Amino acid sequence: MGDNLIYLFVAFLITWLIMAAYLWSIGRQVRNLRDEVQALENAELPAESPAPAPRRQEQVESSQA
Amino acid sequence: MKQGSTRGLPGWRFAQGVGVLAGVVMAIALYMAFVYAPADALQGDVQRIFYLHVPMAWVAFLAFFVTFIGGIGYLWKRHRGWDQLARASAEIGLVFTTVVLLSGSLWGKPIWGTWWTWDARLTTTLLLWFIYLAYFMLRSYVSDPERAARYAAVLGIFGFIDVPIIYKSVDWWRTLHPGPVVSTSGAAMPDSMVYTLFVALAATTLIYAYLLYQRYWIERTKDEIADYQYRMYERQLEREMREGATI
Repeated sequence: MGDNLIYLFVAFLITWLIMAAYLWSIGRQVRNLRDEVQALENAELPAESPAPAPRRQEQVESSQA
Repeated sequence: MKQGSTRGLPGWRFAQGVGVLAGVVMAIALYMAFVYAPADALQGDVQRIFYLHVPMAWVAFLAFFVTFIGGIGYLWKRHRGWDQLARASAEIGLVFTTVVLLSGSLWGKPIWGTWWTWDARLTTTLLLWFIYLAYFMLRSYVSDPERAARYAAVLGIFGFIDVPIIYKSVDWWRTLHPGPVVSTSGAAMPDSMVYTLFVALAATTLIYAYLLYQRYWIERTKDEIADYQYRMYERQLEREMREGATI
């Protein structure tokens, strides 16, 4: 019966290793996605600020003259 | 992209609470499995694998049931949320089924004298594992996300047919695998073992709920990022075309 304890130990060990690896992988994905979202939010900020009104063609020509 | 944070998703705090609760209940379940529940008279301590193996199997079935519901929901409503839910749950189900197969094999060696036998329950469970592995392979091979979701939904629905077959396999075929330990007519073991089993089941279900929330957020955010990048690409293309026309 004592010999069988190794199977019990290995079963729990493998299970918790798999669960820990899975949790770690999920945590890493969440972190990476948060970073990616943050980077995209930062990138879109200048686009959200009011852009200068486009100058009309005749205005451009008169300023050049 | 303002919804990209997990904190923006409804129930974020609740999910964190579920995660903490899952840890506490799992600690209680481990204490009960190793201290409170008696060793089996015939199998000895190795029988305690049961408190890991059975809840994992039940919750894997629950995960595939959620995938089944997600598949039906997607085919019916064509709303991507259903597909995200199905994807998230199928992955957790696959991980849990892997644990079921490994822990079952580690119990089988000292009790049956073999790591594996082509017994009806073992074979149908292995088949289930392959079905949901194929579910992810199919998703990765089909490049169009809408088509991938549709095909995966169909596979997720038909794949679930294997679950009741697994459950009834011990009745339908002569198998080595033990029959149901808890049924409507009562439990075939002492109360302390039944209580331990149910606490372990509660802990595993809470872990599943926590993982499902995280995985669902990942799937949703990935889709949102892909949509956003596609919109940006389209906008840039439009701008380039406009500039080209002006020149």
